[in-house]
Amino acid sequence: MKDYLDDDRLEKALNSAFGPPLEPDFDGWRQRHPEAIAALKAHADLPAGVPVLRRLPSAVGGWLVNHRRVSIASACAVGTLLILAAWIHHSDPPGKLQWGVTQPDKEVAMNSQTSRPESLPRAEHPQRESTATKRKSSVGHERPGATEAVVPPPLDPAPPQAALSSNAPSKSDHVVGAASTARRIPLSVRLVYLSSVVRAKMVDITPKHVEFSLTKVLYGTDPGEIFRVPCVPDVDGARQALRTALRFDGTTGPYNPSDAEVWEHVLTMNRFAKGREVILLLQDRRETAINPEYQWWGTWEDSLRSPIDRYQKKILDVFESGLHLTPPDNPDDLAIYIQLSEKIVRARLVKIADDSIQWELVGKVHYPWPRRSVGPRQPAEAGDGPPVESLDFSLEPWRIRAEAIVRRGLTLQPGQSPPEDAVRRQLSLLVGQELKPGKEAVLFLRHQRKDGLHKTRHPMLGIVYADPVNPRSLDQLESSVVEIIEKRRHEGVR
Amino acid sequence: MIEQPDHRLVEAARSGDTESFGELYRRHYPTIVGVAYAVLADRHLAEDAAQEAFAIACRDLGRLRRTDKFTNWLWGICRNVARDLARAKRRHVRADSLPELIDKPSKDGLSAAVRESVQRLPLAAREIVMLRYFSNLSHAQIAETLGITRQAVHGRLVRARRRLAEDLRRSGLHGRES
Repeated sequence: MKDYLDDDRLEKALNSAFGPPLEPDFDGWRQRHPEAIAALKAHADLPAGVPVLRRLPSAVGGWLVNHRRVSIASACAVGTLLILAAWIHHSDPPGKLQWGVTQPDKEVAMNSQTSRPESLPRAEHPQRESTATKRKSSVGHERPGATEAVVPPPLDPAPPQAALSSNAPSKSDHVVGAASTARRIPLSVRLVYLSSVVRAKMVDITPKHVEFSLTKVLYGTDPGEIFRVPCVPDVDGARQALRTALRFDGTTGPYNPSDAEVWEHVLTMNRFAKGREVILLLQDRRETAINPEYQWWGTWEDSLRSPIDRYQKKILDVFESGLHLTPPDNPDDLAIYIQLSEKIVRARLVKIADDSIQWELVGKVHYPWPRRSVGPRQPAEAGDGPPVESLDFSLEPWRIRAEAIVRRGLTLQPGQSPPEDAVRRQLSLLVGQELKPGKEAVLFLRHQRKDGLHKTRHPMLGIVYADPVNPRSLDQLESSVVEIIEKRRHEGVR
Repeated sequence: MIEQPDHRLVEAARSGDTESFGELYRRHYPTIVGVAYAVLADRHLAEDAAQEAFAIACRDLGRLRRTDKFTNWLWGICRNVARDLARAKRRHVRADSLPELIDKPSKDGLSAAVRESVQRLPLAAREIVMLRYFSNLSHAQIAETLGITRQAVHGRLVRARRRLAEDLRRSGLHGRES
């Protein structure tokens, strides 16, 4: 008879109790935490003397105490505190120039702050759930009746990392890699992530939400005639700006503006005004939002930067020229396409079926990111990918274009869709013009999310066709791709 | 190939060498997950906590004064992250859904019973058991990591195993097999 006091048996049980051994995946981690890697590099760029200077006061204090100069040390500490207090009292709060001078030309970020007075409520942010909570929660809520929209942080220069990789945590949502955060993503790429683009008027504004009346759907899903957009305005920024502005007027001493004054200033700063018409870029979050209130994701910040009609034309031009068909025309744009792609392939069009296009791969597959693998690591050098025989893609990008072209020529009421037969006619026209069997192209294939957000989207980010005038254009493009991937790898930015 | 000591890798990482940080990550990941597992009792959450701990360590590496204490510093971060996650887990998960958070028991009921018993050990004992049996560290490695002697590691493990055996016997598993 054996029991658990038998050491051998317990040892065996313990050895097998916790499953297979762990395999550290640093490349995957690095991909999910680009901001940490960026911070590491940023620290390395600091001048060598800075850490020493930081430690100097405590080192001097320690030396004085150790050498029984306690009274001198105390006097120094008190003096330092007094100087610090005087400096805090007389200095302007940080950020005044940002708000006071540059604000009119800045992109209006409505929702970037993290704290607010209790009297001004805070809207929940759908991306703040932890990865663990997300894993455990069910999705798929759909509210009947009026559609609600959410305005989370604006689609910033970098599109959400979450939209690019399957399990990126929320912290890195606004960073794509460490190298390109300062560069603006082309509108055509940003529009890939949207479900709809609408024109709407603000009819009611509260600290919790903005209510809109729909004027026109430019593309995509109709959010309903009246819809609400919960928002998180920058109340602290407004309060700070008010304090600073009063200082400029000659007022001295601390001043605490009332909540009403702060809110008034929030409206001014964000150009909220009843009757103001804006273009909203929305993303349908019904499939991923845990809170059913957050069905939409979007921003209107871009439409504030130029007159609305000009901005509308710009968006429609992008739709018409093809969301995914914009060839990268300079190395920086090409680098962004590469960064956003999962793989880049050269392919030849084989045939067009009812709703899909079949491509045959020509040459090698280029992987900008190291691939995750179980077991022995696969090589991730540029151009060494295993050949894939064929790829099937939906006609969705061409359908989007066709729909945008048809919508442009019609005056549709809110809620009204463009006639399906007109869209189909336009689609076949576009397909006939552009998709001829035998045509060669370089395809940028993007990450495909596993949570279903983009399940109706094809995984194609961009296509560059062979230039009939310069048959070597694709070869040149491919060699540029390889060069950029190698450079990224050399720099350690993956 | 000679293995670089931790403090050399930390210094290289501080000067911007991400590969050195990668080496630290690969070297300490299993240990750190073990530390988090001891707090969280959930493998997935423990991996989340470990990854978050490495992210914090990567961001704050410049603030680490004694590079030779990297392991202890990383452990401290990991324990804090794991405790935060445990608190969040308590806040967000209703009691009736708690079983979902615990690792699915394997077909072997013995493994499940052992895991549950381990979770009933005091934190210090739990940690050392996790380092030995979850992170698969040798006695020498545990000793080096914890800054204690191998004899002390051996003694603590023996005591932990004894408690486990008693706990399992109290659970009614005593004498099931012959």
